[in-house]
Amino acid sequence: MTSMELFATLGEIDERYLREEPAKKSRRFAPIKWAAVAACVVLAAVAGTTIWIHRDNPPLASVTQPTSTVTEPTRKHDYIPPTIQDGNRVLYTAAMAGSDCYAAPGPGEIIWDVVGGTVFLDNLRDTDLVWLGISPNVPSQGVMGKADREAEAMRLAKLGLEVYTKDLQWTGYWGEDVRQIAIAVVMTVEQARNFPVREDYAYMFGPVYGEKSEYTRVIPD
Amino acid sequence: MEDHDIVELFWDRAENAIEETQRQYGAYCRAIALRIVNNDDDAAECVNDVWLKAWNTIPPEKPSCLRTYLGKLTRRLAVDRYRRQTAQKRGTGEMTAVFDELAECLPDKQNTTVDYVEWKDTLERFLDTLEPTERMRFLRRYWYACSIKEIAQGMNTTETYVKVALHRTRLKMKAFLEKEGIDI
Repeated sequence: MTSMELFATLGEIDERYLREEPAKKSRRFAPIKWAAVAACVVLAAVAGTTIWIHRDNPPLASVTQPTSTVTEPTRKHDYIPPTIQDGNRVLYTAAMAGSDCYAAPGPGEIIWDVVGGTVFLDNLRDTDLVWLGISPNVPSQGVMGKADREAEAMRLAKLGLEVYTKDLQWTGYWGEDVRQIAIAVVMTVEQARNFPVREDYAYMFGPVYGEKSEYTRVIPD
Repeated sequence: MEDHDIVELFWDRAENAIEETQRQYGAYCRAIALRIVNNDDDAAECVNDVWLKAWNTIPPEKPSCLRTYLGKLTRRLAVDRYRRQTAQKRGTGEMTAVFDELAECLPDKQNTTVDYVEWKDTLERFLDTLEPTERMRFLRRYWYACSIKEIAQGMNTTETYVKVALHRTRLKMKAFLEKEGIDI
């Protein structure tokens, strides 16, 4: 291995190493440190005195401290889905590795028999707010505008789904005012299985960003 | 705009996903690329390749930290470009010094077979042995290819101290790699 290969391999290390921030040295630490030292001295003196007073007493029974084990959540699946291309129509990837997402490829198709999709359904609770990504089924048709997304959210709400939206607004690269909405739904497993897709849209489900309180319920007209 | 909002734009195939990413992380990615390729035009091309790569990989990827995700993409592409540039000649700029220093870490006995996955795991185990500040200093030099001066300024210390500290870390790394006994 050459030093260039070593440099290149270093680039592949886990991203967690790159998220560390430098420890900030603060002058305010000094008084805290001395206060801690002083506290330790006082504690040692109290402990020493206590031992001296009770030196003739039998030892105290040992107390077993309750212990708790925190189990780290593990990835439910490591399924890496294929990218499906069908002529000029891109069928969105069916399940996203590690993110419990599911994509209904459309038009009119629903694929649940993939690992991610099954896991998504198995873990879906009626109270979950599920992120809903929507885009034209043929990318060349362009990007859905805010009005189209609002219309789709309203259509789904009218069909009986509990639909929520959140306004997104930012200044674009060219200084333009961009407005968009994020859509989220609460649905039962049954509603998810029979999700009422529009044939010209592709849908993706996944964990929602943010809190439910940030979203506004769409009330059907 | 938060990372998750930008990722959502990618997932929605919104055209402004790239514009927003560029606005937020353009300078960061350019700095990484520039340190490696040491040329403004190449760095700019490299960063453009990053946006395209991000567009093609999100989805299916859903990075929780867009900064590090883009940083890794940038570094990878910049290293590829650097390799092409320097196929015929020796490296330029800070990279020459970085490579010379890294050469010190390589164990003396070399094997022709290289298992990059094993190497990556070994390097991560080595990084785990370092104190956070030491690890950060090491990565600034050998991941971000920062100059000694940049590191000293960023970590509020002197250049001499950084040089000495990095030298010690390199010795540790060499000893660690030899102890691990991996084929290189």
